Amino acid sequence: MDIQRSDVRSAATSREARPLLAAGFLVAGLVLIGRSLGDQAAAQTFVIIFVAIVVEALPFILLGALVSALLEVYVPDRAFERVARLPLGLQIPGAALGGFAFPVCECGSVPVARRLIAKGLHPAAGLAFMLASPILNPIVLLSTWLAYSGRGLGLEMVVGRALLGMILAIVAGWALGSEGAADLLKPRSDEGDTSHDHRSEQPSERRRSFVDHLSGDFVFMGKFIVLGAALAAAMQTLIPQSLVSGVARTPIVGSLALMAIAVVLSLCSEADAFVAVSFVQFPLGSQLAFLVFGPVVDAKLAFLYGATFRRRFVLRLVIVAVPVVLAGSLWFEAVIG
Amino acid sequence: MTRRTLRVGVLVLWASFFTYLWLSDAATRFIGPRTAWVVPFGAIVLVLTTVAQVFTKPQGDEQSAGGTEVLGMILLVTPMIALSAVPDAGLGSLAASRKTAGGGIAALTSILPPDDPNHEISFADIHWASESEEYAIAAGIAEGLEMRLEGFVSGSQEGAGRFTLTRFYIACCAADAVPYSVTIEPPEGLGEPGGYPEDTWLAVSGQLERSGAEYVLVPDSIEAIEAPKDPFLY
Repeated sequence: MDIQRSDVRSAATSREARPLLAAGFLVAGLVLIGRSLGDQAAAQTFVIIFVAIVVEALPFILLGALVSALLEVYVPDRAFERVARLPLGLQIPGAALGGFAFPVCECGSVPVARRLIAKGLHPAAGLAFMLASPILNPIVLLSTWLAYSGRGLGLEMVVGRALLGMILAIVAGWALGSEGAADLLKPRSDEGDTSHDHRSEQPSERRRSFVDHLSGDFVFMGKFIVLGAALAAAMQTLIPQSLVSGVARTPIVGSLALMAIAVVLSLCSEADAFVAVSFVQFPLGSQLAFLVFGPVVDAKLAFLYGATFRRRFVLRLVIVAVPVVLAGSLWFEAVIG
Repeated sequence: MTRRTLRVGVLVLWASFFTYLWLSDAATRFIGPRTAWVVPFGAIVLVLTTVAQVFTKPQGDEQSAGGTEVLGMILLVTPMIALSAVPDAGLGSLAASRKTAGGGIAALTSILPPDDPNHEISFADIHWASESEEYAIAAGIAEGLEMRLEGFVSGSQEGAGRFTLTRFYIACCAADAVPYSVTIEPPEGLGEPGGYPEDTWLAVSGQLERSGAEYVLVPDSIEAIEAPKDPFLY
């Protein structure tokens, strides 16, 4: 048994090592280039965007790790078992609606969803929660209302975003979460440090377990956010946005273009509405596509998902999310635009 | 070196960095006021987590950190290394050329200036006023309006003495910065004869005039200034 576990951990470590090695060389290369260029504009642009994304995202990772550690150490397993016994038809929308009560953006919801699934929540419900919470949480909806109220469209955009976000979370959760937790979640090489028995009633034991889980999740998720931020910053530095926005006058092309821009920009969902509202050259439905797709798929999240889930999760999520968001944005354009 | 030691080292570095950002004005280089709360939050929680991690006893035998873990931790502190390597990092004319300013033909009639009596007319207002007469009227923008703009020179110069002055507006962080530019048309004899190098920060005072549909600023004074500590508008 121990040998098997050790083999699994070793295999996981090896799988993690490859992208991390590549990433390490990539980032080191970029830094060296920046150093040699010194005052060159590209290096300055890359570094400021790179650091800004990380500085903004890491506290949300921390918040997610905090909630995740609380769930792991202080919420009894029987609470999750009770929820897991509910019919799936209730679990998935219920979990998606749980996003209303969790005020963090997309970076924070990933560690929490992972923990919920590991603790017994159905994977489809865990994914629905993960995808819904960055869109449905109250801070995001409030910022959407504030951004669009200047154009007299606050309520329409809030309702459109919440509805389409909810539909996307339920559909994607159902489509991608049909397999078991073991098939969905990647094993983590560092879990040996934090998987000790936290069910001890000793308060000091629980405190130690809580701190270990919190710091373990932070450093594990944090490195993938750094990687994603480097990719987003590199794309922003190298690719002119006009390449995409110049061809984006019709609702279908506009929605696809703004989804692509959302992936490149990798914005926090709590502030992305202030950016979306400035894309007035795009139809309103396309702006909604930006607001719903961005919190679910972007460059920084791709690495976080890749580290958390198995089997080309990002690709499968894109295949599900693009048509759902596109259809929703066209419907919104037809009704409101 | 154990995994725990490595983890504590990374936590110390990030806690120090967030505390530095919180206690200095440096955070304004990266983050806007809407999300400024993440910096003190990050500093406090990271410091507490670091202290708690240092003072909790390790459980049993500690595992040594392998190459992957070391690499992962180096990766995690790369932003700080990058910032040390390029300490004058910032957005300038290159970023302005890569990013798209708001603009276009759709929905312009529904764009209105902020409903704030203290709102100061700046780059974005002049941009929108050039696009929409309704916006210009609502914002009180008209020919002859006296104003002063501070920004950096961007874009190629289109004619003798004519150049664009730009500022970035951010909602949340430097990643979402949107550039807005105003064309400056100095009268003969004012300004640098050979033009201003890109990314030079200038304070320009003068009157708004129309050049076709576009509002341009015709200056009566141009002075070179230091880049402000907070380079963004909101």
